Amino acid sequence: MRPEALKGHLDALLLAVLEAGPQHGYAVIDTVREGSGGTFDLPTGTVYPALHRLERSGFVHSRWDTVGGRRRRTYELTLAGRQALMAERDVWDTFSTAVSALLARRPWPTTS
Amino acid sequence: MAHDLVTIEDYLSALATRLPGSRRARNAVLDELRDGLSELAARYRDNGRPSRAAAEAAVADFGTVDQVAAAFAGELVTRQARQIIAALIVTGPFVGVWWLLLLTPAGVPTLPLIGAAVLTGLLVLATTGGLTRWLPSTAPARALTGATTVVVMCIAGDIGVVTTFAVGSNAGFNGLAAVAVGASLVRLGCSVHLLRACLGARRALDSA
Repeated sequence: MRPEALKGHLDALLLAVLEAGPQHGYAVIDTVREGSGGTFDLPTGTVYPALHRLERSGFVHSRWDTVGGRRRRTYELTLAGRQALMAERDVWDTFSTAVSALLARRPWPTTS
Repeated sequence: MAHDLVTIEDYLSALATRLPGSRRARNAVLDELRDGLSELAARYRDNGRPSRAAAEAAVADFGTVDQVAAAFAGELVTRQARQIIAALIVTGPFVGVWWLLLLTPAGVPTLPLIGAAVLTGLLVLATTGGLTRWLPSTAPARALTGATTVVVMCIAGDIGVVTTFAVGSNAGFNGLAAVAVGASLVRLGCSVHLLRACLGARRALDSA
C-alpha cells in the first residue's frame, strides 16, 4: 500500500497498538506491520517521528531503560491518548460504514 | 568491531550528519534507531542470515538515510523551535528586571517589542504542544519562523535598551547599570547563537 494511503491514520494505529500496554518503538512499528498482514509496510525508520509527535501532543509518554547494554525508549499511552483513540475509533466507524456502503459491489441493473 | 555493528554504525553516522536539532535530541534519535536496528538484525540472524547480511537487511528495512532524515526533520525542527522559545521566555525576566529597575517601565522603549515576542512565542508553544488536542497545530516551518522571529525580537530588544541607556538615559553607570548591560550582552551572544541554529534548522528543513 502506498504510504500516502496511511496518512491521517498512522497516529490512530500507533495508539491502538499501545492500548495493550507499554512497548518500545520498534515493537510498536512491527506490530502495525504484522497486524496489517504486511499491508502497512512503511520504511521502519520513517515511523518513529510519528511516535515522537504523539508524545509532543501528550498522547503517549516515553521513558528510557537500558536493555542488553543498549538504551531503549519505551512508549506508554496516556489518559489523553486513550481518549484520542476512542474518538478516532468513532470517527473511523462512521467513515468506514459510509465508504463501505458506497463502494459495496452491487449487481448490474438488468435491462429489459 | 563486528561487521554487523559497522554496518549499523555507518548508517547511523550518515544519518547523524543529516538530522537537524540539538545534539541531545539527535543523540536520542540515534540511540532509539540503534536499538531498533539491533533488534531487527538479531531477528534476521535468528532466521539464519549471517551477521553482516542481517545488519544490511535491517538497515534496508529502516529506509534510506534520505527517507529517515526527511521523516525526522519536521519533528526535530519543531522541538528545537519550542526549546529556543522556552529558553528565551524563561530567561527573559532575568534580563528585563534589571532594565525595569534601572530605567523604570516608562523608560524602556522596547516593552511593546518584548510583549510581542512573548505573545508570538506563547502562540507557537500552544500550537505545537499538548494544547493541539484543542487548538490547530502549527507546521514545523511556521514554528521555526515563530522561533526565529522571537530570537530577532530579543536581539532588537537588547540592542534597543542598551542603545537607549547609552545615548539618552539620565541614569548614571552604576552597579545596576553594569548588571543590566552585562545581562543584555550575554543574552545578545546567546541570541546570535540561537539565530544561527534557526538558520541551520531552516536549511535542514528546506533540504528534507
